[in-house]
Amino acid sequence: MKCLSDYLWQTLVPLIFFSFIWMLYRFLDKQEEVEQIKQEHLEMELKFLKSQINPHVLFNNLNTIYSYALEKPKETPELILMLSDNLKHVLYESNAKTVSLEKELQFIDNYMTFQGIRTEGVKQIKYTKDISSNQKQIAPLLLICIIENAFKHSTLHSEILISISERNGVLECICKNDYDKEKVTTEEFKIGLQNLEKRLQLIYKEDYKLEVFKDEVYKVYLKLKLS
Amino acid sequence: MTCIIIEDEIPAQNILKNYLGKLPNLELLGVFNAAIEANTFLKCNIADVVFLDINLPDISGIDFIKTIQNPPAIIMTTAYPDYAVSSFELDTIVDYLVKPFGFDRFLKAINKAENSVEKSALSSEENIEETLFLNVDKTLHKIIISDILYLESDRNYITIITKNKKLSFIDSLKNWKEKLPETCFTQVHKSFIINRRYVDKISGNEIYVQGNRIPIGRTYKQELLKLLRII
Repeated sequence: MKCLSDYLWQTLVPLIFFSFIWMLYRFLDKQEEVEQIKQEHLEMELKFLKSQINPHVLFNNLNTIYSYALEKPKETPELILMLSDNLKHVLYESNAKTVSLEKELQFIDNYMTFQGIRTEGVKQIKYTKDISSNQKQIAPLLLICIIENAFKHSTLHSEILISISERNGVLECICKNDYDKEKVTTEEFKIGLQNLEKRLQLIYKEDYKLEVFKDEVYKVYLKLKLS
Repeated sequence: MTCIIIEDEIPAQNILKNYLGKLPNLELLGVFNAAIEANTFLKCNIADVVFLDINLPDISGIDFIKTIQNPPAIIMTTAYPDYAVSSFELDTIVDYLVKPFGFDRFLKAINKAENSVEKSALSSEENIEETLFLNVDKTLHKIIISDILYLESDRNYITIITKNKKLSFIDSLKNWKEKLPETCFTQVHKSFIINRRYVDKISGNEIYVQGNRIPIGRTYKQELLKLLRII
């Protein structure tokens, strides 16, 4: 006669064994998923970094410096420092969540100097700044998105207006440029500013306002509450 | 050799100008910010070499180069190596220069352009001298193709009228349309093919080829007007 405990053993042992196998299987599966997410995250980060160092802009600026080295060697060292500062800003400083407004604006100034040289005689640039305090912090490389966009879509022999102002910790940036109403669709514009909107939502949540006007001129208005 | 620069950035223009200044046998005819501006220039001027920036905002305006009879050798310049470089379907691109480029790399491109310009000059000379022999009444008549004014067909016969000859023989106009180079010859009527080089004027539905009045067929008129540059 078998006793009750024997039956119990016969059921429990395989039950425990198979649950163990099942748990192991689940664990490995999960591990794979985590690995995959990590990979995707890395790829996204890399993509973001790449988008920050726009090779097109970099090589064009190198070409500008090369031209100056041939024609105006006296002004070349200054340009090399500017480009190096901007690379430093994009590669290292912009990894922080926020940077000082002063550094970010220096970056924009340098960018505008290069653009001014490159578009000389082709586009007119009006760049104004009105900053009351440089000590505030701002998320890096937000403003440059709007400014690059303005250059990208402006037409030949047109005017680009860029104004940045700061009062009591509130930053306002306005970019205006002519655009080809037939060629440039709303879609194209959106892609350029979509990433900006995403980043603004993540970082500033309620403390920002981004507006795009498409009338005679193309106008982007950004308002930020600085920290 | 003559050349023009199409480039919207002044620093980049300066590099090219600087290099060209070192080569006395290269004459710079003009510098243009936009493809459209170069377009109007090339309508009435001939350049052997065109330096063309790939990243021009109106780069699509460059398609006109395909329509030029003796297209210039094109040297593309770009700041971004693998971007759009291969997507341009222009046969006359001789080289790509990736900015910034040094003088020796630039020289290489110029040499390539020189070769291509020489080659096309040779072939156009051949064209001018191209001849054929016609067997009419057991005699072979030499005809210089560029001397042909027009061809007329009458039932099974074709008459070729050149500057100094008039020959009739059995053949079809369709055969000849295939034989003659399209760059000069156009069918204007179901029984006429003309050499555009000798057109004097068009009035109504008649075209004058060195004083000879030739009717224009309705179905051919559109095509003809397209080929003649009408402003």
